Amino acid sequence: MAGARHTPCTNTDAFSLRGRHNLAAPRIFYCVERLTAFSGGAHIVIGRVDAEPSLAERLSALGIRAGERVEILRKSARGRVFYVRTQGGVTALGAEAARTIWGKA
Amino acid sequence: MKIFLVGNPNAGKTTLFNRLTHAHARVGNWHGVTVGEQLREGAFGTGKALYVDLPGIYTPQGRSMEEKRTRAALSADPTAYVLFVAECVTLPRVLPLFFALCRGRRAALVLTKRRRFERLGGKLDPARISRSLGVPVFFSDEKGLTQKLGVLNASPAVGEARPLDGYIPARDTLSRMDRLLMSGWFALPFFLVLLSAAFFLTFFRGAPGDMMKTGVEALFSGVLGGAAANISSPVLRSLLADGLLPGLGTVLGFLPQILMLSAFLTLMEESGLLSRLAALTDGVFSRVGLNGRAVFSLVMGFGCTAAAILTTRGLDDRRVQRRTILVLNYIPCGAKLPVFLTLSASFFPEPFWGVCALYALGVGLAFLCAALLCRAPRAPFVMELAPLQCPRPLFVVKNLLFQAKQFIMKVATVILAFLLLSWLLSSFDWRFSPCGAEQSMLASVCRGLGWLFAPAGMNDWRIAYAALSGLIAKENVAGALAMLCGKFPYGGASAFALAVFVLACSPCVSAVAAAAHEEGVRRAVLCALLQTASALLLCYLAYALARGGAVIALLAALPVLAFLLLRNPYEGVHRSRTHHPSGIYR
Repeated sequence: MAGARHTPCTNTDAFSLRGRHNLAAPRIFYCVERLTAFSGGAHIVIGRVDAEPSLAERLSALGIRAGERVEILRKSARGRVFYVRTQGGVTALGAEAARTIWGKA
Repeated sequence: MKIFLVGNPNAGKTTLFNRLTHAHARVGNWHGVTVGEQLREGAFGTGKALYVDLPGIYTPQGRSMEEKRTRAALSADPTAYVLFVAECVTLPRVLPLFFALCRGRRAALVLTKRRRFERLGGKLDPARISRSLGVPVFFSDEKGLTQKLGVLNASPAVGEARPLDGYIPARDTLSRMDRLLMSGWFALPFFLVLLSAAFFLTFFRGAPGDMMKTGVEALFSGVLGGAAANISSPVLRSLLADGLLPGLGTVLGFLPQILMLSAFLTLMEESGLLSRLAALTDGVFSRVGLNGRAVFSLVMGFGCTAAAILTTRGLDDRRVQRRTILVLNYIPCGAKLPVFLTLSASFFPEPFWGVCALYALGVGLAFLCAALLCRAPRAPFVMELAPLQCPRPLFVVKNLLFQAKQFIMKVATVILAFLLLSWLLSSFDWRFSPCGAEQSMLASVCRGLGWLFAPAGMNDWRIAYAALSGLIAKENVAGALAMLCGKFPYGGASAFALAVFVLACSPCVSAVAAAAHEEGVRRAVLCALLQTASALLLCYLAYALARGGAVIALLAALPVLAFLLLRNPYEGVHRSRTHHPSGIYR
């Protein structure tokens, strides 16, 4: 599948993802990777946004928040700009912002 | 009764504001066109209300100056009604913001860009949405909207957040052009070709822009100049034939070319290409401490520096805003165009290449200035791309007419007053007897300034006066040169040096005032003085270079190059990649 490099999940501190509104759902542990690890065409579910509060809020307002599905449309040649399709639009993210987003293909 | 229009940037608030109040506020296909509050009275229900158009906001705790301004306006008047403007496509995404901003207020939801939403396969039922959210819902293009909004008087205040019903999201398909513009291999050459075409059509000899300019000049010099030559009164004849007509004709002659360039900028903005350009150039801009979002301000700077400075309020980072304001001063604005075209004929046989060279030099100086200032890290780049759309011809024409009106009004007031004063001072001596320019009041006052441009081969008070008059309005330089000198009396090297001075000099008083409003008077005035001084040095350097003094230019450039090369261009820009709370890192 287009997207992440496969990394063995050995970290005991791996992030857990549940259904957003279903607290009774079983906990499933995933290994998440930075957005910068994925290539164009990848569909990912965002695990968490590890950014300062103002940036996290801005990303959340644009539909980039934990639990959301996004598509990485394209990554620029040197990985400086990521085009991400979210609910209702396309957002361009610089490398610094993209590095704060963790997700799973 | 006050009604605030709030919502995400580029949602259509100002378009709605124009519709409700019959105003002509500036709109555009870019996130951040509106930079300040706009107030106007309009119909509301059976009476009237004061509509307040606020800058766009993404989050209740937004960091940019515009978002803080919006928050402050809302907090200052808790009883005012709110019209929350949202695009149909992004409605589910903006509902948290709607409830955060409007809780406890009487508010209505106004949905925009319905046709685009339906074209993408989306469906919504306003009645069901209204019942589910508990607020009135309207479309922005509804007939009789101002009367229907009167329902706000009887509607309850917005309560807690509720789930959305009656909404089927659109199929979000990207066009082929959208995908191509995300590729640097296509997009960069595409923008370069667009830019080259715009410059070619505007400035190349025989191209439409040049032909229109020739027509306007022929009108002033031929028709009006001929009529002025037949006036019996010698004073009036001198005023018109030697004073106003050459000056005004020179400045107004460039109006067609200024409008053509403005049309290109408007088409770029209206089509959504500007936001793609911002994303494309963020990598380059980040190396000099700027942000891709600054590209809108820089592109606006090609039109008017003062207006461009105001648009920097949309930048989140105060440091990036300051840097952008500083580099904007080097971006050649539309007012400098008459000067460039007047002078470039002396050092380039084809004015097209002269103007291109000066514009490239201006952009290069802007980047150099930003690189020299680059110290602290900048905020990460995050930008929503405006939708690609075909520019609306009526919108482009309205914009151009507005720009033409602004230009003509400026010429009819500031430029005319300056030319009148210049003619008066250069045609009479202290006893108010008619005399030649060298015996006039102006010559006796300005003779001491001749040394300013002596190292550039122009020990001439007229040149110094014309160059410094650009501090009031850049068009004055071309007007004063035409009035005092006629044809430029010095060689190509001096013309090039003067053009570099005008390019690098402090902007006009309007731009300095705009900068003072954003950064403080002391800082703005200090920057203006330093910039004028550095422009003089650049002028001398340009003259030396043009006279074949490449060695001098290289020697002068070496310290700057050494500073740029030895200094780490990435200092502070990249965050540490080694630490992560969970230990996972790349």
